[in-house]
Amino acid sequence: MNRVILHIDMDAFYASVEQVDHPSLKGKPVIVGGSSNRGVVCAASYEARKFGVRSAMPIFQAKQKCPNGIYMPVRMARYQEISKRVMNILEEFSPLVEQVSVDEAYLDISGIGRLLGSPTKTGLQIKQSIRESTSLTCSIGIAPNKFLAKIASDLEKPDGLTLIEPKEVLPFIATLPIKKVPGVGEKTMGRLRGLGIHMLGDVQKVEGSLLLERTGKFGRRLLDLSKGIDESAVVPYSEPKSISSEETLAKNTDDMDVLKKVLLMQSELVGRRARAKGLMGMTVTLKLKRADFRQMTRSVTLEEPTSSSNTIYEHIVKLLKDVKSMKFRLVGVGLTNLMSAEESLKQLNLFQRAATTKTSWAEAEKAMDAIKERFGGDAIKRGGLFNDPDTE
Amino acid sequence: MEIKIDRDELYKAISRVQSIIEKRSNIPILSMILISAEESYITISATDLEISYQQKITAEVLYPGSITISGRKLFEILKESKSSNIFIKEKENNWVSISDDDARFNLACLPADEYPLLVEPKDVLTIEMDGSILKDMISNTIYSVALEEAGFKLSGVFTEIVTQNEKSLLRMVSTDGHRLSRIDRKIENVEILKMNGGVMIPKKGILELNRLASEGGPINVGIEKNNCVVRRENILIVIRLLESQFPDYNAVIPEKIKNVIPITRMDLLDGMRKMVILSNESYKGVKMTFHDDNLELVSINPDIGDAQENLKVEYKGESLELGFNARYFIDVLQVMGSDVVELGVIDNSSPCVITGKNDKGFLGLIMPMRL
Repeated sequence: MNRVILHIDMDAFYASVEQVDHPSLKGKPVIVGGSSNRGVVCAASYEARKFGVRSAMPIFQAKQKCPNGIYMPVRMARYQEISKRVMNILEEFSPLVEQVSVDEAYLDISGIGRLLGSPTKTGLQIKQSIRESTSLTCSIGIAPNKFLAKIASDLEKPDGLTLIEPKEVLPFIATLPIKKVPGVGEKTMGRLRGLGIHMLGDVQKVEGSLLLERTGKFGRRLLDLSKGIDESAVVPYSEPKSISSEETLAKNTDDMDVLKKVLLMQSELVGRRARAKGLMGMTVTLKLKRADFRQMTRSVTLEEPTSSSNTIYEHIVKLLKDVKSMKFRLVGVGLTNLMSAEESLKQLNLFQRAATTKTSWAEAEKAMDAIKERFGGDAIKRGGLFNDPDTE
Repeated sequence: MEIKIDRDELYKAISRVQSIIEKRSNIPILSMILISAEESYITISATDLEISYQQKITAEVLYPGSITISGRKLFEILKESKSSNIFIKEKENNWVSISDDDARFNLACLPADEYPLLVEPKDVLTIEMDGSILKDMISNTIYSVALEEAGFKLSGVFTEIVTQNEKSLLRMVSTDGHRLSRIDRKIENVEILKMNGGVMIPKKGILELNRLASEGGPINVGIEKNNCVVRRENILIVIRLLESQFPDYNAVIPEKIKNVIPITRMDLLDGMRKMVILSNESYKGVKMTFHDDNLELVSINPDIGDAQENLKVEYKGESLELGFNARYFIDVLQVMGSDVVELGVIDNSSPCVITGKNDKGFLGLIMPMRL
């Protein structure tokens, strides 16, 4: 049976959300990224892209290209809120929704055509529902597999809808530039060019053994893709392997107070995300990037899993103390070895007393989560996160 | 300082202290070993400020004095050396040269007078005990010590003197909150140790004690203020005690046990080992159902599959269903020595008590899991 896979990709997602929330920004070059010159561009509106601003470009470079752009800080909580709305819409069409990132998902509608109508009709309906609910546009690619659906969604951005029917697959592949294939970077591309491969279809013309020799395991995948074969399934929900938060500092510092403050904020965020997802983690990781860009991580595996911001922070501080003092440019907090909180609460404790301090903190954190959920992330803060009014 | 010393002797001592010296400390001097030479021997000192270790070794002292040297580097150099003798010589500006018949190393070191030298506690009352008894007591309690200091601090073994039938016993207790182990042993003159209601020996210190006890022979142990002082032949270890409070463990040991179920230790251990194959971070539980002389073990992990085994037991009461972390059973059954162990079971929210006739003075507790 032919599969019907949709790839839904929100157009310039962060920037578009900002334009919807601030109507005065409509039609203007909006760039969402770190709050200082040291960050990178997370998203650029189509107006900003005309100036050559791209995602992942350092902010200072973007400012050179687009000095009159409107630079907005990242409001992840807001994007996640909108993202959730989009995912909910997708789930109305099929239970097989695989969210790849905050602004991207696959949808498998194989075999439910009779229910939904033609794939194109379904695609148009999805676009309409998303627009009605969020005022945002997306681009959709429809194809017999995930690989082609992803490529298709990119073909007519923004606000596009591209269908690759089963019979069109091979002609499409024959003229698909190899650099469009996910996983083909500069290095691989160089090697493939050496073999005379420019289009994905060209892979077929090269002897299999030679291809494998030059490109290793990836060659096998390329060979499959060149025949239009990609069996990878749409996997509805995958447990996150880690929950983490990191931030490039406004300036390199070895000031423990500054580092601790940032880490407290990050511990807070990581704990909150874990609690929201009903997860607990066994391992707490401190990530540090030194001024010379060398990265180091320090981890501790706990006796019992936790989702408490407080516990995470306590361990982060202990880890930080064991690190030789030097200037850092980035710090981060991670929680890994995740498991469902429900499972981990099954083990009973010998000493009820042991649990009391922990429980009261858990209650406080729950209350804080509820306040933040309702009034926004800044509605309530830990004492340690209050700045002097002068430095705020 | 300049010495000539037997390579094997020195290698043994330096290997021994690798577990004490700090590998990733932000205090560089703690990664060093102090070597002091006088008359016809050297004294090796290593410390992490919690545990201090000193050992005297016979050496040919050509010139007395003290140096510090990287504990790790000296260990690696000795490991590679095939010579029977090692020469260590202090040079100018804290450089130290180490040579054998084949190679020579020059190492930049730190000044010896910066080393946090151990002040040996004076006039400590010590008692002599058999190393093998201490080793037994440690292996019966170390497994249930908390890995880290979570919530309230348990990361150590609580040690105290108890009186039973007018006899003084040395008791060690440890718990991580989910399980507990307790062992009592009779030791001559133990009552003279100044324990004042019990002391907490940190886990790292217990591991060092265990190593010393495992080397055999009698060892001398004393408690002085917040230190535990241990001596064996030419070795001295001083362990700083934890200041944390140990919970009231007596309160959680059940007094009245409804069902005491004997079971062959190896059968249960093997059964639990099979059950644990399917466990992971999220699913650790094994369901134990006692019914009509049968114990059924069931382990279910929705991500992997399930496992089941039946064991013969002596149990006639009403059907009893309990959940436990299989790993905890393995840990306790492994350190016990009785052919038959007795499981004291009350209900699904009380600890299971594990004892054995040949494990005199030992008691293990495991808290259940909700099913």
